[in-house]
Amino acid sequence: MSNQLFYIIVLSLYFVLLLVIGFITRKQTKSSSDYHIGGRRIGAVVSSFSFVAAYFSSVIIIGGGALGYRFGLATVWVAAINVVLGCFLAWAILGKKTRELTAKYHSFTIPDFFAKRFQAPFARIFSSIVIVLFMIFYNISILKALGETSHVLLDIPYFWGVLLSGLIVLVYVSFGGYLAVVWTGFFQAIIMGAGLLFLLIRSLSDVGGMSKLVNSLNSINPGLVSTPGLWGFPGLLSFTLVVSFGVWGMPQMLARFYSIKDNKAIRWGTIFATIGGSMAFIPFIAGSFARIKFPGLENPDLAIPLLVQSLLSPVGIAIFFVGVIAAGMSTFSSVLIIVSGAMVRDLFKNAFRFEMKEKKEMHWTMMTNMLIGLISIVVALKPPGLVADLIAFSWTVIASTCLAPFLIGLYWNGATKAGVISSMVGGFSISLLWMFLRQPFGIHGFIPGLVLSFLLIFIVSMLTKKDVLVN
Amino acid sequence: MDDLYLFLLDGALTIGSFILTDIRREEIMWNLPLSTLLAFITLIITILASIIWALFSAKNDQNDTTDENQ
Repeated sequence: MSNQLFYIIVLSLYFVLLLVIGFITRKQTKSSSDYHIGGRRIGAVVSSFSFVAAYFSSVIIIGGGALGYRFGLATVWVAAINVVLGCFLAWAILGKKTRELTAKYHSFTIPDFFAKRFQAPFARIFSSIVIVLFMIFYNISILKALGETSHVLLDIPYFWGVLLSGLIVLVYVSFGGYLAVVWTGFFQAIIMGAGLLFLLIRSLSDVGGMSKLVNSLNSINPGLVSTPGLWGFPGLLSFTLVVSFGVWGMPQMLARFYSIKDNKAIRWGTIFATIGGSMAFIPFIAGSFARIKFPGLENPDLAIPLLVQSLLSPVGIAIFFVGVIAAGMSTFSSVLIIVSGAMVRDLFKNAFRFEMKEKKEMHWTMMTNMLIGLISIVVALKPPGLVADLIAFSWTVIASTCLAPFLIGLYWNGATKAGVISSMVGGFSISLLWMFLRQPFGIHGFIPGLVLSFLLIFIVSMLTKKDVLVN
Repeated sequence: MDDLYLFLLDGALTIGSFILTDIRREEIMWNLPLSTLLAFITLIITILASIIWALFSAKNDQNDTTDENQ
């Protein structure tokens, strides 16, 4: 059997599995609560694994490998802080409170939570628009990574790689809703972890162990084995914060806390998510190894695909490829369901008051999934920029808009409507402006965006405290 | 089937040689640059912290339930 045929069979089996999950979950999806948040009955293992799958998308695997290639071992700190801030502390601090308050306000989405928690309809509209627009950038980066991987590993043209993987996700998300997203995410995390682990072991085995990796990198450039090394503190620190602390304001990640079934599941989920998050180390180490194996790559995004191609057997390549596809699809599907929820439920139904009963809402959400997915696929066919840069751009703007109001909304009763709106608009504007100014002082736009949004919510709330809500 | 058999054998041999050579020669951790080593230690501490947090959280929830019942 030729390798090409073998890859196609493995990939087809995987796609069939996803479509079967989509079909089964479709039968269990009876209300809009089921469609958006799985009826708040998802267990610890599925919630935490799908959290990890949505977090460490193909963007982290391909983009993280590219960073490891460019900057060496300093990049393992990105992974370490991902685990501390993005997994453990996110679950421990946000999990229980998010579940309790979103259940109390009957909210299925972040914009809905803002509107009800702060009695601020404008916050709903503003955050929905930001989520819809900038999540599309995120989708594009995911599809780009999928297209590049299929091109290098399987010799499938970039165009068909993007189209095929994008369309499969569209089908199962549109039909199965959130339940399909978390259940496919659960399986995708397992496949992704297995693929990454195998790649790590083969890489270390090939170079002759971690010590030899360090020595070889050191001989190329000592900056590749020191921290912050070639990257420099501003770059390393800001990127790490965006992709770690940024999780706290990313709607597709927070949805896992809306939908989890109880406090016990949150406790177990915290442990599972922390352990599962440790897979984030692998792409950075493997990317550093690729620097030795393939010096002088023009496009560092190709570091991991080339490594896989040169080290793994056809079965290993097939598993890794399915792992990367799985990583991308799980995130793409999580993002799609959030974007369609923001558009249909928050904008059309609640903000613009379109008359919609449950069935009609679900129907419109399915259609919106299709539309947003197709737009992302079309743009991804000719995408701009490096994968890692695209993700940092979209995460920055969304997290600068949503993070401060969400965190404050969970833990402080003193925030006012004016405080929340100024925080959102201020965080959004400054982060965007900072990035258009090409990130002065090498500091990522997330830092000024976040600082300003926190300052504004506190200062403006103090100044307008007569409007304070008692919750 | 032959492909699968070779894949499993290859995987087992790779993991086996990895453990026998690198770990036994203690080359995994000790020759790492300090900053990289600290990143791995941070990971291990965080996993332990998550387990301890879960235990404390369970105890707190149990106390809350007891208080509510009383």
